[in-house]
Amino acid sequence: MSRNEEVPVYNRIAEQRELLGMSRQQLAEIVGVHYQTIGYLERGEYSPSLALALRIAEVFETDVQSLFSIKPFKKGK
Amino acid sequence: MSEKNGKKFYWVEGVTRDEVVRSLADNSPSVFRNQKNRRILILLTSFLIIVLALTVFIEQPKVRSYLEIATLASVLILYFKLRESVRHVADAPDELLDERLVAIRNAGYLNAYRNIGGISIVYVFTYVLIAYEIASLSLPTNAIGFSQTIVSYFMWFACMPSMVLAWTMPSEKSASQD
Repeated sequence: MSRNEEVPVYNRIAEQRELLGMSRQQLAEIVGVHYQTIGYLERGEYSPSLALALRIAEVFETDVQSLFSIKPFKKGK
Repeated sequence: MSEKNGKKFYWVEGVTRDEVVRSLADNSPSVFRNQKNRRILILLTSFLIIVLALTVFIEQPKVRSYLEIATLASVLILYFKLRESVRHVADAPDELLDERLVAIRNAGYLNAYRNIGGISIVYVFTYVLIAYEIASLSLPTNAIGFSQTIVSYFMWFACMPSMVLAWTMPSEKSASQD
């Protein structure tokens, strides 16, 4: 399977970030990526590497599985 | 970041650390945030590189040299504008980019390599045709100078990675949206 055919990775970054009252720029600086990359991640236009996913999960003090999924998250969960 | 690091020049990539960092952090509005404007910039650069290559056919030496200088200067200015339009991503080393930007840059180089391959074929065929023409007319081999053609070929090499990225990168959203 080529990378273009990969299944989308859903995430709850925006939700978690807003809970902490953090801007995309602030999150980008903490995890060491460009601020646009956070936007791409939140919109599901880019799937992060495992290392980046772990760094983001660490910021939100949660585990990767509750932040990223290959199935859409249920609303309000 | 130390002052020394900020001014570090990457010889292979042809950029300074400071230049890339500033460019990536730049949130100010720019005409180059829009894909359509970047594509116009690419078309203009390509047109001028082709003009530079074709100046070889101008017979009047004075007109030819003026046109050569004017087009080369314009292409060089547009080359730096192209780099700026893609936030120097095409030229930046890995250590200054995040994983998404590294992936975009690498994919861009693959397409740039293919495009350069196509351009090389066009140049080679043109050279062969001109060589046959010179031979059939029994002209001396130095009847036409090719320095500007070679310069134009190198300009394709220099501009192509930024051209590919400028063409493919979507229009940027404002910093508040992103």
